[in-house]
Order: sequence, then C-alpha cells, then structure tokens
Amino acid sequence: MIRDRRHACMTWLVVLGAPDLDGGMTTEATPPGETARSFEELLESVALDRDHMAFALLFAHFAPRLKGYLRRLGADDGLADDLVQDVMAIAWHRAHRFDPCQASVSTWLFTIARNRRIDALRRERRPELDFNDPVLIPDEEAPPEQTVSNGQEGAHLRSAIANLPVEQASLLHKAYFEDKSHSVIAAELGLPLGTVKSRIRLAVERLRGALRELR
Amino acid sequence: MIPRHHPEMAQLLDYATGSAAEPVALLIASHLALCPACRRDVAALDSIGGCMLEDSDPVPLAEGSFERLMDRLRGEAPPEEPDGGTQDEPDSPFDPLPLPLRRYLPKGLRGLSWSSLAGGRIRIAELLPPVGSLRTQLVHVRAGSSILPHTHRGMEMSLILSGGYTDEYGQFLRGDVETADDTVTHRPVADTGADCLTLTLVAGDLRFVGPVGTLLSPFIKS
Repeated sequence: MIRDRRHACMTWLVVLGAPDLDGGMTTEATPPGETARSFEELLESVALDRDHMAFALLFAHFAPRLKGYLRRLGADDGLADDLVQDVMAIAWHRAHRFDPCQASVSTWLFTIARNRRIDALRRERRPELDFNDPVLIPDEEAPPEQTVSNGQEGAHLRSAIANLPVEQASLLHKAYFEDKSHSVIAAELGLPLGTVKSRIRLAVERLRGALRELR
Repeated sequence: MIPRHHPEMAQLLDYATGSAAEPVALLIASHLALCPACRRDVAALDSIGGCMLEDSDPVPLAEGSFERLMDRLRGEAPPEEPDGGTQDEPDSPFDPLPLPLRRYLPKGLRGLSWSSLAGGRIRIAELLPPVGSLRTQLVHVRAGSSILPHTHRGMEMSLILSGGYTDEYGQFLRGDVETADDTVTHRPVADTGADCLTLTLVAGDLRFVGPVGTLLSPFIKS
C-alpha cells in the first residue's frame, strides 16, 4: 500500500512541482485527497528506503517550524539554522527508531529539537528515558497499539488547547516557548506557586482526556 | 510494583519542555523507567510540545538549507547508538539502577567517592558538581538507620532506588519520589530488611530541628 501511495505522491509532485524547500511557505505542499501520505508514512519511507523525496517533504513542512520554535527559545538566526540542520540530520539517521505507536512525527521532532537545544544552548546533558531499559516497568494499562497520525492528534489537541481557560493556555505557552520552569513563571506573573501548579495540573489533565478519546 | 508517590505535574512539565535543570531531569527520567503512569503523562506533555511545534510560525531558512543538509548527510556516519550504561555490579546489594542513572555511572556505584557518616550507617556520594545550590547525591542508609529530623532551606527531592524508608508522610519504596521544601520537617527511617539507596537532590542546607540536631553531625543513627 505504501508503494502505491508513493507512486501517487510522485505523480502529484510532478503535477505541482517540487515543494519549496527553503521555507517560503506559500506553496506548502499537501498531497490532495486519499493519495496523500501522512508524515508518519513519509518517515517510514525515509527509514526503510532512504527516500529522499519523502525526506524533502518532511523538511519542507517541519524545518521552518523548527526554526520558528528555536528562534522563540532564544537561538539567533544563524544558530537556529544550524540547529535545524542538526535536528533534521538526527531525524534522517534515527528514522528507523521512530515508533508511530509512541508519538506523532511532530511530537518526535519536538523531543529531538528540545534535546538538541539543551545540549547546544545550555551545554547540559539531557537524561532520557530509554524504552530498552531492562528495569523498565511495563505499562499494564497501555492502550492497544495504534498509530495516531499527526493530523488526527494535532487537530484534536489543538482544539483542546484552544478550549482551555485562557490562564491555563498562557501558562503552557510560556512553559513551551520561553524556557521557563513553572516556579519562574509563577514568580514572573506574581502568582502563588500553588496556583500555578494547580492550573498546570488542570490543563494537562484536560488535554490528556482529549488525547485519550483518540486512542 | 507500581510507584505510589510521584513528581508533581508541574515538575513533569518542566521535564517535557526542557526547562528542568539536569539533576531534576535525571531524577525524573529515572522515575519514568519505574513508573508507567508518569510515562503516560510525559507522553501527553510531549504531544503538547509537538502541537506547539506544529503551530509555530514558520521562519524562512537560510538559502540552500536542504541542499546543504543533503551534502552533509552524504558524508556523515550515523551517530552512535545511545550508551547502554554500565553493567550491574554482580555483588551489589541494591536493585538494578534505571538506565538514565547508569549512564552517569561509568565506573558503577563503586567508582564514586563515598563519605561515611554516623559510623558508616549512612554513606553519601556526590554524583554531579553542584548546579547553583543544587546538589545531586546518592544516599545509602543502612537498614533500620535514620536521618535526623530536618527541614530544608530549599527543595529536597528523592527517588528511592532500592529498599525503602518511612517518614511522617508515609512509606517510600523503589520508584517513589518525595519532594520536600521549607514547610516540611521529616525524619526518614530506612526500613528494616534491606539497605536504602536514594538519588537525592538538595538545594540549600538541611536544617536540623531539636536539641540534638543543633549540636551534632547532620546524620546520625536512630
């Protein structure tokens, strides 16, 4: 099936021309209708076949967003370009380790960019959970293995975030885009720490509930 | 066994966004290996991050970025797989350590420099250089021994790696996390039967309370 889809995708590329790979997003490419390959399928092609075209499509969509994310978190223009290169290089090399049952492509790239940023800007190591850890306690309540596509998850979560009370949503934006811990945010906003903690808990529980509906 | 005492959601958020200091991230990553419930929370927090990334305003890249990347990839060897950490020490009295922590122990627990207190009933090793006032320690308390009642000038956060202890707030076993601050006074007593090993972060000094604590070494047997 993937082969068929690739064929459709190539056809589509011929029709539309190659996507703009330097981030002028006006011609952002979305294959029409059912012939579209999801980001997860594109990444699978990168992993299995070292598919340059699939990688180019992922790059065209994600690289400018990664740059936007890194710029907001304090990287200057040149450094952000370099970090985007690093993140996409890691994605190319580790594509075989992407597991669509664990995360969407945007979530996976977010974690790579976050860790690369900690390494480059803070010069710290990033301790990470390893799913191959022999001591890992398995999750008895794990949902059935199921791919959650970027599109589904993103749309669902985006609307759940949009529906959060504004004071909860703004806390999350500060946390993800300003590299501030919850205690720093509390101090900046002049809010009691307990208030910030409970807003975070409420927000995340609500969003987790929204994600659960998908699985 | 599933942990019953967890980090707060706000701490998991700091871990997921990347704002947590390295010692806190190390403690949380180690807890995650032992705690499926917090793994689900962190997966959700990462998904929120993915959504934030998806919603980021695209910023145009330097010209020729994709070609530059493909040139680089043609000449680049794949990065090494992540370090598998040290092997367990065969005669260790402790449960096996989570991988994130083992990656910080290239020579195992034995390779650390341990200070003995209270006649060897308590041993402490500094795992990382201090980050500001935050110290990262492995604390080994012999079965049945205790640490004097104390409160804190800053945060104290412990992950139980082996054995367990009990204080005014309950019993803490492998995988459990206890967070304390200057509002908390506690006197942890290691459970009998097995030695207790914790990964403990301390910001600022402990303040010992009671007549003995003001006079003596911080750590003393019960």
